[in-house]
Amino acid sequence: MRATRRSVVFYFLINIVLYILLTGFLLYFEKQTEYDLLSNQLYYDNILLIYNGGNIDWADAGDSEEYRVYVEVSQNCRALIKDTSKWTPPMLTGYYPGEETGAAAVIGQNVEKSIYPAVNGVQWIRLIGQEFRVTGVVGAEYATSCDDLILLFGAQFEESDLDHMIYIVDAKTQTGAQKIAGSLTAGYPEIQIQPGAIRGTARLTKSSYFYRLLMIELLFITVFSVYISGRFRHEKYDMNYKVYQICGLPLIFILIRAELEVLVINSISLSVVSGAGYFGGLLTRSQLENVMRISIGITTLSAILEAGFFGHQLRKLNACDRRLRRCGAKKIRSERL
Amino acid sequence: MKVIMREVLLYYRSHKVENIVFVCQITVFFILMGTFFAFTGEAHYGKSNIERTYKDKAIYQLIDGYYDPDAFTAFRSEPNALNILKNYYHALMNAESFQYLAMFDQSITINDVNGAADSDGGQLKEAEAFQMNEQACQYFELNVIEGRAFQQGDFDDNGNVMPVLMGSSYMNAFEVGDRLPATYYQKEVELEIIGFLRENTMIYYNGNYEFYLDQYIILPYIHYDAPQTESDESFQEIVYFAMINGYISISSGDAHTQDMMAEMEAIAEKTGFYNYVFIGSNPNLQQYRGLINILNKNYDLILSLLILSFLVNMVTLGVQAYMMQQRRLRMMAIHYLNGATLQSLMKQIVMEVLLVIGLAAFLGWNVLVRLKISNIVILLIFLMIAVTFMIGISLISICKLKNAELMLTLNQEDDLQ
Repeated sequence: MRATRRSVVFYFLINIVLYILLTGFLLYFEKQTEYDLLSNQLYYDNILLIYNGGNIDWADAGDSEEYRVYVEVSQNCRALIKDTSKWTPPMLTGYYPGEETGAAAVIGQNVEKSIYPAVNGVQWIRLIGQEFRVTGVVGAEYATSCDDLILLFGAQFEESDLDHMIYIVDAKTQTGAQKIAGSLTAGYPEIQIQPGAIRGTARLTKSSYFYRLLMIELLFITVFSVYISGRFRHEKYDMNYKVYQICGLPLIFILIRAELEVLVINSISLSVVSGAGYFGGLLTRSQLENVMRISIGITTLSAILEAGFFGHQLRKLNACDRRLRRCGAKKIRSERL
Repeated sequence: MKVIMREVLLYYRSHKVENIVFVCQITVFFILMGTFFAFTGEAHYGKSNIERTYKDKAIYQLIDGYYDPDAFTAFRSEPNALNILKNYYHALMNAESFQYLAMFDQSITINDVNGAADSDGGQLKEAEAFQMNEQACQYFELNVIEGRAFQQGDFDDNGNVMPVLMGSSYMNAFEVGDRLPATYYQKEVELEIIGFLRENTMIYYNGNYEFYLDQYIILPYIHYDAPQTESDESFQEIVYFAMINGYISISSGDAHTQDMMAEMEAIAEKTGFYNYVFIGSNPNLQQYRGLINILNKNYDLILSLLILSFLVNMVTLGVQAYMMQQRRLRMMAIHYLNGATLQSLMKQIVMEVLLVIGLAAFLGWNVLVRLKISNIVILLIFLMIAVTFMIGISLISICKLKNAELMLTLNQEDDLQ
């Protein structure tokens, strides 16, 4: 019994450790995405520059992929004309306006210092002959590469101006960018598409490549850890199973008991890690939801493995029974009882 | 020893699945650590590269003032024009109060037999090229992943052969030593590839502090000898006009700026080239601070995740190794009962640990080599982790074995006899 209790403690410890690691990775991913965006003027890694695209009807361009379309006004200023990604950049103050908020702008901290102070609590910026209401400041507490940035919403352009401007498509995934490029080229043969340069941490540290690699490795390490710790925990019950079976307890009862134990241990581990993270101010509500999802995955995997170990154990016991019967010990169970 | 090996093999055979999974787990752990160290290395390289180039530096863009085509033609028609340009350029190069970085992105036409440079039509292709003088190459410390970087001799006039460095995107298309016929400012030259730049090599150019050279062919700005023909003279004039348009790097601070301005005036006086202009005379290199901030934070983030991952995985692996050995102790005690010596049992434990961790480290290293993220530092760290891990598990197991209840009982019985 002492051995069993100790194996449960080990199992619990390994679960805690795994949840800490997975939560750490989750937090890391969000931070890395933020750094990549802040150092790449709020672009994802998949940028398409479209020249001669004045005739493109962006309403027909399709919404299946997550992407944003901008018109480049200057090196540090661009106007949003379509957003299918429901995306919000890291905001320092204020809010990021949607597409239907009229003429609005979000600006970097350096721009904020250089424009007129707020009148009646509202700041305005004049660009391309229009007034834009400033709804917020993008960036972070520290200096970032997007401190000089201006994003415009609801900007009105003359059709003749659009012919000379560069459209920028910023897609979330590489596949998405390829699909958009393919469909635009097919529909508008006159346009020229060039891939945009990636800058910042995403390029300098190759973060997306390493992140993918680390995620795959972490997945493997989690599966192996769950397998080995589950197997050890199961082995400690080896003798118990035999006793249960000899006592004539229904086998399903043994399985349910083991699965319940997995569920309880996982729930406690999750509560400890997520509770500490949430109340310690490390995890936000949405991150907490993601931790829950991860925990469902781990618990399911543990439960499946437990059932597998149990099935394996059962086959071994049945084989043992058959051998005993062959030896003439037909009523061995009842005799023992 | 033979008996010990047989015992070890018997143990592995009887616990195939667990041992395979355990080896796999340690292998993944090694790969994870290797990936982390490679990632940290990239982050550190990016960070130090930017810091070295821009920290406490001010960069001014210097151009000639011949915007008007008539003025330009008039200057070129002067009999001493080329000498003035050459003297002015050499004076800039030898200045004491600043570093002169001559850089320009004049494209070239290459006879692309491999079809590697992107452009349309035939074998003659327009390729993106970037010209740099020796000081610019040293200033930005261009690193190569294959071949060699520029040396002093590469900036001397070697006739029609021009040594070039290729951006990393050309890596699979050409090889070091390849020669490409090309046209540079309408002059036929032969480009000799001497090396390939490291991926994401970046410099400061045109106000962009993140100007990447991956897609470019890097040409040295040659110090040409006296021209032999008229066409040669015309070519040299064009090249030297490009060479005098560049960047001046000084240490930040008003005193340095004043020194630089005074020396520029002296150079103009000495060489007779007065028509120079600074653009961006109040250079704004503040932007790089934004990137440096993020790179620093990113580096710290990766490092903390590396430490967390290392510690957490050590706990997991340690607990699992402990549980595996715990189960072995009973068997070991039975061996002891049957006459095995404590020394041979210890050898067996060490052998088991050595095999498992050695195999995992070997597999992990092979995967990293295939992923092209291996280097000597990672290999050393691998060895360190493997040795620490081996010693740790072996010592714990041996201590457990010595203090095992059954072993103590057997020892007591021996003593009584």
